[in-house]
Amino acid sequence: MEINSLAEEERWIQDAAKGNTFAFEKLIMKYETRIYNICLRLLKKPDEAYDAAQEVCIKIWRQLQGFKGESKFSTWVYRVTTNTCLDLLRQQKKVYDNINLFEEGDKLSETIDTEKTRQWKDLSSHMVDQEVTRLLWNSIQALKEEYRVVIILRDIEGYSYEEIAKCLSISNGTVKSRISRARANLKKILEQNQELYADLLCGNRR
Amino acid sequence: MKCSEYEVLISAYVDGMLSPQEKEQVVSHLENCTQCKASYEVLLHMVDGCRQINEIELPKDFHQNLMGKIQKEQTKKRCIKWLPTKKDDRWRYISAMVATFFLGIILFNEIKHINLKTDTEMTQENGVIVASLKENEEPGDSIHNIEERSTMSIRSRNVGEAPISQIQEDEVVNGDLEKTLGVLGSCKIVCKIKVQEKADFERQLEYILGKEQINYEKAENGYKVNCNTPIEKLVEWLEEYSLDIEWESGHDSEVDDAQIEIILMGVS
Ligand SMILES: [Zn+2]
Repeated sequence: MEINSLAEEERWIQDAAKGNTFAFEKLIMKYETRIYNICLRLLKKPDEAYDAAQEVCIKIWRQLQGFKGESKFSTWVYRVTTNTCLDLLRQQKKVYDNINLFEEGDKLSETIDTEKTRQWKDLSSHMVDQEVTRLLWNSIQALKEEYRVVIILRDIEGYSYEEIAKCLSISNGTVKSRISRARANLKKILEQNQELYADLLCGNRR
Repeated sequence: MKCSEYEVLISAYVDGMLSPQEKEQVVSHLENCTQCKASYEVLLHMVDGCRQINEIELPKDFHQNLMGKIQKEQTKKRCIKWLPTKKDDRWRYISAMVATFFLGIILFNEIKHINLKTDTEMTQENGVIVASLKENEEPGDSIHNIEERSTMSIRSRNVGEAPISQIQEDEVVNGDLEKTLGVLGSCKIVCKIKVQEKADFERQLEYILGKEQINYEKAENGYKVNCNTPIEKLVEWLEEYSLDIEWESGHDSEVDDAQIEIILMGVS
């Protein structure tokens, strides 16, 4: 089954590279939602994400002939997506200076009491709840960009370390340490929102 | 190892990215250190929470919008591909070849000439050629290279061929597809055709257009054909059927869809 669908995808790729728009349509239908979601997460604004995702799909169409299958097709697609978004972010950065809500870097206090852990467990059990997801999402958005990007790619989109390394042109070792630092900072931000999620845990939800 | 040094390892452990030795080290530390254990659990919950952030649905018009752009681009590409057809451009090509041929002869003579001279006798104006000759060692080879290069540079001036490769190779900056294509000019093509008998031409043309499912509209002195579908067969047929045919690309950059205007000339 899996092999069949891969062979089918292979055929679509070849045909689309020759200019067959039907084959391209089949192919892109498998990826467009994911592409849009990655754009949405990285760029935040829906209209920007929409345009970026369109741009990514057109790039894929144009560059298909150059895709020689040295990496997995999906990996290549996500790389094009990530790079397009990162380029846009870089352009925006020139316009608006990036505002960091929280200071980066300093090591987490080594004292994490069990009370916090308990709250985390509760939080997690309520994660399906919209409000809590929103809290987590907002906290991710407050991260410094290089941390925000790796949390999105790794923890939301589930990229492998290798895929992240390729997308960001950094070494696997850097990926590992950056993810760790990003998570530590995310934890900190969430801790600063104590009140909010204490509220949530007290049943302040609809 | 201090607890703080375990931070990166614990994070990688959550992702299953540790070597067996590292894993063993982390597991045994977590068993003995309540702080790191607590930290590890927080991390697990956080990552789990991230995974539950739902995928958002694709906006309704996204797919259709995209395929519209793809179709349009494919049509324009096809249009541009056969734009330098026959006649007019064939002459441009031939003249380029002739120029190359003469350039080759001139260079060949030049090199032969240089070969006879000694290094010290060389004049300033021959400097460039001498340099390339020395690098390549073999005179025959260098003639070939020069010829090749000059052919390329002349060919790249050929209107039809250069832009296609540019579209395919250039990355889209900011998704500004229209602008990129706009540089190439429009895709309005005018075909002036001379035929023996108007009625027969119209009957046959309409038959072909129908068979190829090409949209068209009858105009006063010919046809307006939309090339949103493959048109190679149509072009081939026109070339074959006509007594005389002339292709022109319009310069109307406002044309949105690729279009061929077929104009009948001097009908008997
Ligand atoms: Zn410890």
